[in-house]
Amino acid sequence: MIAFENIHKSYSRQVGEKSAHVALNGVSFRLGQGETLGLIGANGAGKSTSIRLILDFIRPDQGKILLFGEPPGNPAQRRRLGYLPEVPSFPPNLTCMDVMRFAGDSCHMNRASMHTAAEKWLTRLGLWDSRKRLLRGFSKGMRQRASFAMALLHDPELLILDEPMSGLDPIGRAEIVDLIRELKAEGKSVLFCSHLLNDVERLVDKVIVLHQGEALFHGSVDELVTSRGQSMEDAFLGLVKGRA
Amino acid sequence: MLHRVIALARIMFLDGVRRHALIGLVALAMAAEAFGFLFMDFFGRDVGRASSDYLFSVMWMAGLIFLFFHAVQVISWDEERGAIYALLSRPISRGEYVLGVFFGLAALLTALLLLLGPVAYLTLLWIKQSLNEVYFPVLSSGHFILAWAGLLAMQIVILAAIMLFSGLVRGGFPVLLLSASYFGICSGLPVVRASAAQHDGQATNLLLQVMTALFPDFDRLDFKDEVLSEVLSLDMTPILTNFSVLILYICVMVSLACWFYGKRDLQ
Repeated sequence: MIAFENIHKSYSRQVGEKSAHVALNGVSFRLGQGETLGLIGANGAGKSTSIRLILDFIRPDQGKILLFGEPPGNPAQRRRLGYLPEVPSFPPNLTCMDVMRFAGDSCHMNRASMHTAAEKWLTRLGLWDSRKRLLRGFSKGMRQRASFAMALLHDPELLILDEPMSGLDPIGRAEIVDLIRELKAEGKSVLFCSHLLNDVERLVDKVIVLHQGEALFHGSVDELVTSRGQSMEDAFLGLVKGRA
Repeated sequence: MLHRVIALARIMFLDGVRRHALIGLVALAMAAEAFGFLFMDFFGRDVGRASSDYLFSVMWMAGLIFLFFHAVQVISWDEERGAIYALLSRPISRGEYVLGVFFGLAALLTALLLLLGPVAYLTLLWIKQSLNEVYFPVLSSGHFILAWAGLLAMQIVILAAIMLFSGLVRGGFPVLLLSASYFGICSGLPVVRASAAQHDGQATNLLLQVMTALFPDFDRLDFKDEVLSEVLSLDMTPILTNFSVLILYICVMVSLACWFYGKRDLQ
């Protein structure tokens, strides 16, 4: 599904900065069919940069990225994936259904199947009654759920979720965790990044610990916990502090 | 591709048409046009020309306000708010995104002028009927439509330039500065060219002509003087040539905008 090989990425130097910011330094990983991979790390570790590279929002300085076996520049590949951005945002004067219709049209879904899928996901995520309200009146949690519905509308094989639990209350978080579990059970591949380690521990098969643009660990959650500490949090902190 | 561009243009249109500031702009411009009926009282003679100029100026200003206060910011808003990630995570290329924004904004601009155009024409008709034939002899609806189309075409050229600058630089304010400079050069170049033709050498004139290829002469599409013309038939060949050249120019500008935007990192 995803091959991320020896990727280096720096952001160009801004006015007032002494040097370019190195976001990723030789990071590699793979995500296979039906797997769930978690990218964890502190703010600025390179998690969102990795996701933006996979989606071709930004391009690597070095290294090779393959998405479904080919470089990620071809927009047609994105029919097979659903993406939940870190900050769910849409043009503010649209309704939830406008966004769903756009999502369906962009994937060439016909009107009837788009409507059926929109009803299914908006109902599942508790937004069906608000479907005709303008998004500018939505709370962050509602926008997050609308964004999730948009990502799932076309039944993608691969889900890329950037901080899927951020902005949600505990009930909303539990619902999203359940939903990700269901999607995983359906055989979908999931790549997600989060700094909420409990959620990661509950959901992923494999984990990558990123710190200051470098991958400190790549393996299963059990391997991480047994090699470094009693809990995932201890293990994560041990790795990061050991590096510092 | 067309399907995806239309889907994007549709949401750009809906987002704009529901924006309170744009609804306010339409209401204000319509009120200003209706004010034209009172405006004619300030002029003792040539009431028709003064009123026509006033009404076309209102439409022109409304279009410019739309372009410089809304259109220049659309792409930078999407980038700053992060909406660009939601939109481009769909199977849409960067070029299709730029085309979708361009067509959505062009549809909004056309809708704005479609609302203002008939109000302006009816106001002129009302003024004409309330005056003696001597003060306002001719009002040609065909020429009015031509003048309206010319005004729309000029503003779509500015919109195409805004798309190009949005593709080249980040942030609404730099795009605004570049677009305002572009508009200033386009407006001032014919005056400089006319002046240089009388005083300067061949090299300067040649340079100014080359610059006209980059900064088009909007006067060629300004037909508002014809609205009150007694000559009812115009030579359509140069008019159609000017419109065709302009469409080609818009295509080049928007293609460049798509190309530049496709090369950029979305940071």
